[in-house]
Amino acid sequence: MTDDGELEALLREYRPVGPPPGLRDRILNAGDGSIRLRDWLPTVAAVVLAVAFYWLAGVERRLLSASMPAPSPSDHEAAFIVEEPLQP
Amino acid sequence: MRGRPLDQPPADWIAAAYDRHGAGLYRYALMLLGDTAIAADVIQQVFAALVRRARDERGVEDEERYLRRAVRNECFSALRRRQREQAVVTDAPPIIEPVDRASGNPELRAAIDEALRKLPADQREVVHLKVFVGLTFQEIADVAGESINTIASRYRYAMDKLRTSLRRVE
Repeated sequence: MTDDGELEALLREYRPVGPPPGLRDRILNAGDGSIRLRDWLPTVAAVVLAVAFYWLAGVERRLLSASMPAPSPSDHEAAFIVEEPLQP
Repeated sequence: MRGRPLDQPPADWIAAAYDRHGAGLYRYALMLLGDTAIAADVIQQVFAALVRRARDERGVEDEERYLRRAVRNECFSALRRRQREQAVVTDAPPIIEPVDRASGNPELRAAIDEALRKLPADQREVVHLKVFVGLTFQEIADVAGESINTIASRYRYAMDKLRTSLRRVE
């Protein structure tokens, strides 16, 4: 192998190995590689529902506490009596 | 742009583009990287980028030239990452095969494979594009973004190293 032509001829008896058979399908199935909203829709829907229920529960709590009557002074006295230890 | 015709579904268009250029680009990536798995990843990334360009209505003047440059950029990025991580390719499958599978000398094939792997990536690139693809120095200079003299020098160094490596098996 003295000159480039001879070496080139030897190299041309070979060629780089071709792609694996599955690469074409892999590329076609991968699309553009970006994150699609469609793939995340179930997760987004679950989060939206969780936030909505949490908000509704908060509204319900506020409505319930608004409908409860404010404690009267006698309620405090009654509580005091109940908490007093019994005399032996 | 040699872009996606509006009447052609994206999957058909990308399949046709892969059939036109995929094998050649994979071989180019494999020669640069010496690693079949990373070469496949690079080709997938490049085609994904091509799909995004088509979807965004951004044109590609010369599809083959664009893809070859994109593969080159991705490969050199991967090589830089591998150098940073000090990853070593061991027990890698061969990067070349005999054109006529029936008449291949396994020892010579292994020697050429090893000799090519020992070359720096930029020299291996020039050998690949000149010998296996058949580009001129001017066309290689265009792909690599270098002067024609630089490309010719790289080729000369690469051929000298290959000759030295292969002299041992003669």
